[in-house]
Amino acid sequence: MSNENSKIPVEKLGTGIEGFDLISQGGLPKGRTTLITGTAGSAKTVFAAQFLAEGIRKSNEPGVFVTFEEHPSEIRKNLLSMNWHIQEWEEQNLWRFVDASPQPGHETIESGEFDLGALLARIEYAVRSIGAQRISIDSLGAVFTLFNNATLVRAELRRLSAALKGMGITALMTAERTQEFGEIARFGVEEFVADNVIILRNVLEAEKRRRTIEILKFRGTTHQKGEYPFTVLPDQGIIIIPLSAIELKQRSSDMRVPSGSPEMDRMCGGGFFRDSLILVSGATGCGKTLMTAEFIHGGAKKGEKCLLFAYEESREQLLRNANGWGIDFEALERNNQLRMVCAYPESAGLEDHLIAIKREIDSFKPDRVAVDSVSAMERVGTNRGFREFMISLASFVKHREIPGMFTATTATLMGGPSVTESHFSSITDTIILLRYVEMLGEMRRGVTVLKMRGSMHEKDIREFTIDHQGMHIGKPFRNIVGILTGKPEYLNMESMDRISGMFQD
Amino acid sequence: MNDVGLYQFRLYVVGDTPSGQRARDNFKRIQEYLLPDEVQLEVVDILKAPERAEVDRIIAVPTLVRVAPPPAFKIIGDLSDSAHLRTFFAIAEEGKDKLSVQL
Repeated sequence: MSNENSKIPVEKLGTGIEGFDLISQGGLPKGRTTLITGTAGSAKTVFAAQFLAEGIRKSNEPGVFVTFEEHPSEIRKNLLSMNWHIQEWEEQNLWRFVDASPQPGHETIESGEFDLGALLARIEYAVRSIGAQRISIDSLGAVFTLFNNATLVRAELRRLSAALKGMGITALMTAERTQEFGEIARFGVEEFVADNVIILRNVLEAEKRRRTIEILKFRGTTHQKGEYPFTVLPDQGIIIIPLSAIELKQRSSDMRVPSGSPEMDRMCGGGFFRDSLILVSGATGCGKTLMTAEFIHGGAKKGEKCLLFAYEESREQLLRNANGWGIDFEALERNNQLRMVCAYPESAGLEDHLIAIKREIDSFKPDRVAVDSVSAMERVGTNRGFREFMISLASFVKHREIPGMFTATTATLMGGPSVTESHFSSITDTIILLRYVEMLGEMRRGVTVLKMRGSMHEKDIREFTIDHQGMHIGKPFRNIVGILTGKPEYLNMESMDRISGMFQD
Repeated sequence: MNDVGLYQFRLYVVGDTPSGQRARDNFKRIQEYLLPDEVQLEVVDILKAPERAEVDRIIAVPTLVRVAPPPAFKIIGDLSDSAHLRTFFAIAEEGKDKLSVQL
């Protein structure tokens, strides 16, 4: 490379694949070749096709697809499920196939010297004929299986790579790997065809499949490091969840919104902040769903739109329970003030849930969001996957600058930490604990505001009761300690006096 | 064109290259010894007619395609490996006696 060239930074071409341009800090290196490798079923072909499809859909850039494995008719059919109408694009000269797939029934033998000049000529012709700016080649491993002489194929692929560079086209080549961890690709293709390598993984972890994408290297330019989870959706293709690429740049607001319970508003120093995340933690049955119902009701009374994701109860159960507290969810729905999305956590993977949540929020545009409960999602993914889910969800809601209430069920009846809390507590602004309190052979309920960022809040643990009008927060528990640790104990007057005396000036 | 017994071949090349020329020369020898008289050979230059290569899915050059009679087959290379070719043509023509012919 000449001195002058090295002064020009590597330009990037936005792929349009959701999340990819964020983790790659702008897209694929423009005018260069990028190798994308993965085991069988790791979505290499989808990625390669989507690179072209998004180019056409988002920036009207024509693309060429070179296929060595599947026949174009199969690719057209398979990708129709993504809602990519390749045939129409072909008619509009936006997409062109170079078909190098094996011809069934055609016997092929080798005799003497040859080169892949025909392939090169066809690619050049296809690129020229539609003015292509993107090209995908799927896959290099298949080229090796077509010929006996691997050395020759290697030399020819190097020639192809150089020719692509000469055309100034941004290229994506796929290659197979046999293991998720180990050599980058079969036949060592990364050594000679590409300056840039991306790895797709599809790892089986604790009986669950987890797809990730990693940019291994981009020569001469920057990118985010490490693995990022992604999913493949039927009508959208690959969606990458750019977890640690998420920026903490949301604005902060002093505006308060009602929690739905006047007493809770008082405990929080005047209501929740408009752009805050509220975690409600408590054992099963101690009033978490009620708090979300109050939260929704409080918003609705102000004329706000609320979105509720319910992962523990069906729509009918929710309606009935809310009715029992004097809240008419059905009427709110009719007013378009409430949308309930009920799903069974196991019905999809965490990534798919996350994307479904985002889509609902984007389409309904709520003024507040509640998720009851996020801890139900613990069952669906691995620990790491769940952590990523929580962070991603939290950041997404925050960016909308709306309040979000998330509930978490504690593992034991008397409280104690849950996985959700340990992953989530540092990114939430407000934590409300609901606890059972055993008193003289009776179960009572206690509520306290453990944390409230940027505001004074009450430190008391107050008793609350539930009746047909909802939640009523009463007086603080005074002569009892150990509620939070799950071991409540009475104090007699003597020790009460002693303890309060300890902290006096 | 499609008379019974007519042999049709198509040779794909890219421009005028030594290997393309060798393939033509070698084909002539094969024709002389192994094939009947009525043989048509069409030479296709992919630089001039890239869309033709698309139909036969040609990626290597030179490539010889037997168009007729069926079954169709492809021979990749400059046709210089005569021992290999002899066996292949002999079997393809079911003329085992031709195996003894020296190229």
